[in-house]
Amino acid sequence: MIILKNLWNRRGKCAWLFIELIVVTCIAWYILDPALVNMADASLPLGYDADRLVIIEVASLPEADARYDSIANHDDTRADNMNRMLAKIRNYGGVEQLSAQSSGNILNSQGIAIEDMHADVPNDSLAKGVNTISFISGQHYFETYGIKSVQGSPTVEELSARSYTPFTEVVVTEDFANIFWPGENAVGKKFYRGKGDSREDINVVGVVGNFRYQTFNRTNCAIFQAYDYTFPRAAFSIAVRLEPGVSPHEWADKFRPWAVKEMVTGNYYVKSVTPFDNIIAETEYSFGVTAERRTAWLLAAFFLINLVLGVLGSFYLQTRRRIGEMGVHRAFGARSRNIFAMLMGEGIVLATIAFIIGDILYLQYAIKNGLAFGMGNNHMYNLIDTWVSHFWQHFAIVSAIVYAIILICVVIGTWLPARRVSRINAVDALRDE
Amino acid sequence: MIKLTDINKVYRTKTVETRALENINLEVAPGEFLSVMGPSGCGKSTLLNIIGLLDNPTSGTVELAGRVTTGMRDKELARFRNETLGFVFQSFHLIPTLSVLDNVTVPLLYRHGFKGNKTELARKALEKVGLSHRLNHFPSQLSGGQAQRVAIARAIVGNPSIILADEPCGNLDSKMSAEIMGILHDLNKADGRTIVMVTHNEAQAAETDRTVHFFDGRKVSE
Repeated sequence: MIILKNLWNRRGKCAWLFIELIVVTCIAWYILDPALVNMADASLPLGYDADRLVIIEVASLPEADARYDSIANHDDTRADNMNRMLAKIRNYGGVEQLSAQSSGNILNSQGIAIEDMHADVPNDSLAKGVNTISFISGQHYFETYGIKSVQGSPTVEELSARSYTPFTEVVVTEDFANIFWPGENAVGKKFYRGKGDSREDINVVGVVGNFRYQTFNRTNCAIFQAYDYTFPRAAFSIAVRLEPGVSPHEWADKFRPWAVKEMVTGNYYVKSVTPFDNIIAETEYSFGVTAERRTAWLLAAFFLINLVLGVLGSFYLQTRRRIGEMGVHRAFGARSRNIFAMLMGEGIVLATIAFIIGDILYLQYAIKNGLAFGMGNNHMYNLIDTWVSHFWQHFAIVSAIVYAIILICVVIGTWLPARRVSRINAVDALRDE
Repeated sequence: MIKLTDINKVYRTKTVETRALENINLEVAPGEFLSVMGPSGCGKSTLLNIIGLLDNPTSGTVELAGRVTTGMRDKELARFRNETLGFVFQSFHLIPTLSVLDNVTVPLLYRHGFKGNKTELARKALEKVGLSHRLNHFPSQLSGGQAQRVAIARAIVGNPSIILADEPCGNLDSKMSAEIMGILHDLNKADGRTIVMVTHNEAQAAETDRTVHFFDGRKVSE
């Protein structure tokens, strides 16, 4: 009670600190909301195993190259050469699994394909903007990436081994299946792309777990569409899963010089060998995610340090003027801890009231302009719900975090002056007044 | 009620050693009104601070209400101060941001296990000093005499057996001083409280039961 009375009766002196804390709350929201959403997005499970992965990019020698072989440029020969390359890598030490794939469809790559899909079901309109990923049938695509099938679906080994009718037999993710056929086994169900004359029916042959295409995106609906590698391209990539305990970076460093000498097969040669964490880092960098994250956290750190110093300075000055008052409390039976608790309590109550007002003010802005959405895939429709997409849940969670952070800063800023004043000798304190 | 034995107080800095009190032996009986006189810097306030457990003697023993206070921990000292002692200061030392009523309530905030009505007790204490009509005023809205009466109400609200007054009329004119002295005498005679008062005023000292004189940290006469 005395805390509230002190604050109320000293309202003139506390006003500017109070206003500062209200402004701080609004700015904290503005800075921390996107940073927290990005952090929450980044902490979601990827849905595949990004560890022990290396991506090998394969290209073709140019015709001008002395080693160029025009016969090896035929499609059949290309396919043979691709398989020979895969065999060579498989026999190279430390490899657990590998899969050839189209270069544009590496998980977490910079390219992303979005298509509208439909189904003859009441909630058709839900399924729009599906991420379509192509893989080569007959390869161990799912096993290499560590993507798991769900109950009721063929295993990933079976999905890899089977033959597909290109583009019309697909594997879908669990959330995709749940949107069209909630509570049902989606295997054997049909949906379609295009409408009217361009309608193309698609059969579901398997269901795998949800995954995030890029590390800064949330989970979205996806389908894996197979195609035969009957027309091998001039360039492709190979995803390599290493054995447990093998470092991708060390493996890549050893593999590169060996590949330069040993891996030229027909016109194919190894263009690059990249551990998957580098792919993630490059993708994040090229999307500006790295810079945005750094800026957000630097800004947050700068802001919070300033908040601590600001509160520290304000409380230091205010408590310095109240030493005599504390002497009176000591003379009438207050212990050091009572004084400390009273001063800390004033800081906490002031910060709490200011936070509530600042929070309500920011809510007005948020109702009009929305809350942070995250850095990635905001162009997609079928994001799977997390707390980020539920306004009030989002607001409550970020409010709690902003409050906790402000409170921690205020406690740190109040701690030192309160501790100093609470320990001062009563006689000295009374003399100070 | 109060027994000081061989009290010495020495203030030391790196280069200077100042003896504030030297071999002080003093006893104050229950219900006695003692005045302490002496020139500025003779150790009167230091003596009062030591009796009030606000300061520790360099050596010697302080016994209050039958308890030796030497060696008490901060918690015990605070509790003892709260329950047994009441302070009246020359410059009132009211908390400027609290109302008269809230100022008087302060000692009760720290009363261990207190379950009573703080506001009611504070009201009664203010009534006793004739200030029941100024409950919601702030110290800056009071005259010197009124402020000192609030300070006295604060000193007695917790019903302490000992009141320590450090020049309570030092900042007041003669009329106000008379009023304050009247209240102190009333607390002594009617309530039986033991009072130790530091003063420069011989007339006020003469009204008390006993006067001790200090000079250069020593008790020179009684």
